[in-house]
Amino acid sequence: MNPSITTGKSRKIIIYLSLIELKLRYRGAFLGFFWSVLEPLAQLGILYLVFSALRSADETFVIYLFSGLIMVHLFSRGTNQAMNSLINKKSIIVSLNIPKIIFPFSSLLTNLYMIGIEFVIFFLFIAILGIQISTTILLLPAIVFLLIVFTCGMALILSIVRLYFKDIQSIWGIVVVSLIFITPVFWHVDELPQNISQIFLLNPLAVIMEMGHEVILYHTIPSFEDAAYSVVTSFATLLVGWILFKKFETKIVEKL
Amino acid sequence: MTEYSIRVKDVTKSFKTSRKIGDLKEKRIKAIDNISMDVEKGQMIGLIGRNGSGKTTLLRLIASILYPNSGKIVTNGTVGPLLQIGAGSNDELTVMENIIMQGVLFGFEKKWITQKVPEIIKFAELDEYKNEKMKLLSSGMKVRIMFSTAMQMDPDILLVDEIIAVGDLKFREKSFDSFLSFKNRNKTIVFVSHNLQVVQKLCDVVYFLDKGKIIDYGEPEKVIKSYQGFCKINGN
Repeated sequence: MNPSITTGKSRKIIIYLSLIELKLRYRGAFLGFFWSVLEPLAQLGILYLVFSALRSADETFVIYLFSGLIMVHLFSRGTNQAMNSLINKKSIIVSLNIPKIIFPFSSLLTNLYMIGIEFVIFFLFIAILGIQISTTILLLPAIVFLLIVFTCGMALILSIVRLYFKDIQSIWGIVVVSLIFITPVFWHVDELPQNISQIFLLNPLAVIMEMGHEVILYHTIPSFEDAAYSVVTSFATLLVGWILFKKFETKIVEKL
Repeated sequence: MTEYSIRVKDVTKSFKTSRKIGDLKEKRIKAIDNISMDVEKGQMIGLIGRNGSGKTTLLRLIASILYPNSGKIVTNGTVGPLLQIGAGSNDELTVMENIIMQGVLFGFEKKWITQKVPEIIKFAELDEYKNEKMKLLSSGMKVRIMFSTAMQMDPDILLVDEIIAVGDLKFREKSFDSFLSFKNRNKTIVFVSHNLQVVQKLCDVVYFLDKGKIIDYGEPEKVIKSYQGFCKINGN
């Protein structure tokens, strides 16, 4: 009942709510928490069957596909759920003086736990399939961090836009479905004609995914241009999201 | 020198109405229209008025849930709002989990609130429901949980909307006793109710609101009479 919840307290509330959300997600489901393992495996299995029938595929392709899928999941699930986080927590927001930014962030954090599980399965696959990795993989946390920053920015923007423009939910649904095709999940950038690949690589998500592939499978360090482009676009998106959220924060209760 | 716990100065709050096709100008409804009030520490204030008179909006403004379009509100101490049944609760969580969540959302340490759970459950007289899901509870039981939790958190200013009315007679009596002990400890309560008898019995000062304006304020008996007269004239 403190009139000002400090940043430290906000952080604790974010962690607490994210764990509650995780608990609720699987409570009552027959297979409970196992779904967080089964779901990505099922999707990976289906995509692998389809695409290995269409193109020559080996164990490396499984890892290529899986790493792309995890990154798409992080972005799409994170933004989708954070977009509705203010609406879903309406009863709290209209009854308590609480920093509203807690809600998109706690929703994002719940998704990060799930992504953590997907990464554990991913590394088990690497070990089981005997895929060779090198020290370049140590750069993966930094690349995932950039993706999280970009996702946070988009999540903040979408959570505010959702209050004023309900159609964004449907529009974003289409964007999320198309992500699997417009980012290098099952195709390689170098398979595309150069002029087209350049257009695809304007998408910060595609660049981040490509950097991920480089450090995991190609054992190369991403180029300075790619790294700089990702850092600038990710942090710029977060800055825009943060400013937009702070500008509209006092109006959220009235728009709910 | 008089110590104030709430100072409301020239506050106006308006809301946008939904715009129809062809409306060029945005229209606004004034929920609170240039209100000023000073609440002394240790006072229990009653807010009365017809539905839509601005009582809940005023509570939300004092709680800093809403922000005024103009004017200023200053509160001195921690504020505990009890504005909506089941606010911040989740039907799929147990009663105990909900109490902890309510405490955390109010900004308390999880460890601290967990220690308080047995006392809260005891005060709410819902021991046999502590491990049940919240959805099993009636509205009255939910209010008992909310109220008991808020009491343990012991804010300096307690804002109570009509929700106590949902509790049964025994719990209402218990709540009113809590208000008195709250007051005795020099804490402030702002209480919205349509139960004029209770308002007269408990409150030190009553404000009568209509269309966002203060129509009358002061001694409970006088203000309640003025409200009853107003309702008769306006056919209510």
